[in-house]
Amino acid sequence: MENISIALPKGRMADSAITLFEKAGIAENILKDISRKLVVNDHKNLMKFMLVKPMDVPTYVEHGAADLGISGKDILLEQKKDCYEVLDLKFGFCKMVVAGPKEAKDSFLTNKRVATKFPNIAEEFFRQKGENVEIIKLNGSVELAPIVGLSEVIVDIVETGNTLRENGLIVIEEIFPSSARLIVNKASLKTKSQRIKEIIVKLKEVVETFKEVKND
Amino acid sequence: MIYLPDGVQDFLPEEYKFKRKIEEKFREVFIKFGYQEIMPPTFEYSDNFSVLFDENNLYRFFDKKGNILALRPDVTTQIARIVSTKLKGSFPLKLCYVANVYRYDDPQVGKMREFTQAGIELIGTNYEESDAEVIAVAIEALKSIGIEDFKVDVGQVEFFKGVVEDLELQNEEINLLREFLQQKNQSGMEKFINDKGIRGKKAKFLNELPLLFGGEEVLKRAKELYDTPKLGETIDYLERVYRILKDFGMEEYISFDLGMVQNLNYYTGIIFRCFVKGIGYAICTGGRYDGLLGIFGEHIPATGFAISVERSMLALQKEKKDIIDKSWRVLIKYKENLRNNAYKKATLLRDEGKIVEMYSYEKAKHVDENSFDEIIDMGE
Repeated sequence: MENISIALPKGRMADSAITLFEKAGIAENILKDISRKLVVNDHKNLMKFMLVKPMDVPTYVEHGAADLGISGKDILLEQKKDCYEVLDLKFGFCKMVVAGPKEAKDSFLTNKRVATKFPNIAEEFFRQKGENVEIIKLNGSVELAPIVGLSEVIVDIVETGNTLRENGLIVIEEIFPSSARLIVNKASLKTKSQRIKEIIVKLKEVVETFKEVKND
Repeated sequence: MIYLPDGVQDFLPEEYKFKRKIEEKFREVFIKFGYQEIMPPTFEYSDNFSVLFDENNLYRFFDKKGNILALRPDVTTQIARIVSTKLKGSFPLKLCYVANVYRYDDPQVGKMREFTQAGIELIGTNYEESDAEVIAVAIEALKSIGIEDFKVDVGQVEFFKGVVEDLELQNEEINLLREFLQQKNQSGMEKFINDKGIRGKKAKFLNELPLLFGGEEVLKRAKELYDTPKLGETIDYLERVYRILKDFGMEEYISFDLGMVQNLNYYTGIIFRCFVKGIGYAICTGGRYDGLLGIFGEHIPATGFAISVERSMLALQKEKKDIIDKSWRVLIKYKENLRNNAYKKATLLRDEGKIVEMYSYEKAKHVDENSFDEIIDMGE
């Protein structure tokens, strides 16, 4: 049998993902290793895990550098990469929102300025509303933008809303809910179909039992 | 300007030799199966393409009279036009091409804005034999360049249409469903089924559809699940095609995906894609397009495929295969009074298929003799 490689997003989501894989019985003892290394092999289960920047996961999977990947729906919608999105893994819940200061300041600008890490999502959202905006791409600390007058509003991902509140911002509009997804390279699904199918089925079982436990 | 625009590239001698070799091999296979090569123009009126292609994806420009022209985004549409207007009559018609096409997609590895497609079209027949032949030619073409570890993934667009027909859905909902299926999105599918209140057998239909891919057993499973006459017929058709390919000894290359839907919306029957292990993208796509010629006025069934030459190069590099025949290189050094003899000798050797370069003694000093397999000294 051949190795299956999985791209995990660096950060909190990686831990949840690894827990999920271990619960599903597809991998063992990788949690402690992965914090130190970029690539961890589970020789027993023939799995290879690699840790990459969350924004890069879909790229690795699209090109087949990884067979599978775990990525937030927000990133998938932003990048529109060509891969299968097979499962909603029901963790890493958050929301893509438009947020701004509690009291909108008067502005003489016709085009609202929108600061965001997700320029494509923001553009698409405002275009569908028929609103002309100016998108300002940032790479982090987006909440700062309205405070220092770089933009009127932001489009960003929100989990608890604490960061927004602390910076005196409120949610103006919700764009879509997001959660972690299992994505698969299109060629891998067909050339390694037996193994990948197995993994999907096992993960699906675990996700569903989790869900039931939570609902009880 | 010393930089090139995004999406185009130079092929330098070594690389181009490699590319040409692949194209030659493909052409050779097509011709041996009875396909005749044709070459439509690189650009024509944009209208001919915009029926099927998003205009934003075309390279469009004006001629002096103000007509809108476009570089071809694929050759199949052009062949449909040619057959409908200039070649109607004797069917089946078997045509092939190796040509550059142009699409304004974001450039990626192995997917440039100018790229080369090698393909065939089998026009005028719609039997399972023709669908099987086209798949067989694709397999032989890939094998001819030394690609071994690949799968031809076969689907059937009528199958999805049949499943949807029973459900009485709005167009928007069908598009959503198609998107879920395209992504093999099981969670999305489940949610769709719940939200629409679809129950019982039909729910099971949809639920399993994203997972209906794999070997021959998929067809059996599909038959158990989808026992309506129409769906049964589409599965039977796939089975008949499979049986032919089995007779050709090609079953190891075939897999099925009943949830396959295609991006190009001209396909009407069997569709397929070829995947090479280790390459993340399909290197060949094809299928039946019985409606396409109708756009140009003639209702004639047709099927075909296109292989991406650049992606084939990528696949060969990954498999570390060298398909270029090493040719014998000869250097002839001659004294100027013997130039006539030297040229005769060179011609003789070239006729034998060797590569021959000639230099007079004086000039030969600057030539790298180590790069030649043989050196002939015509001094005395």
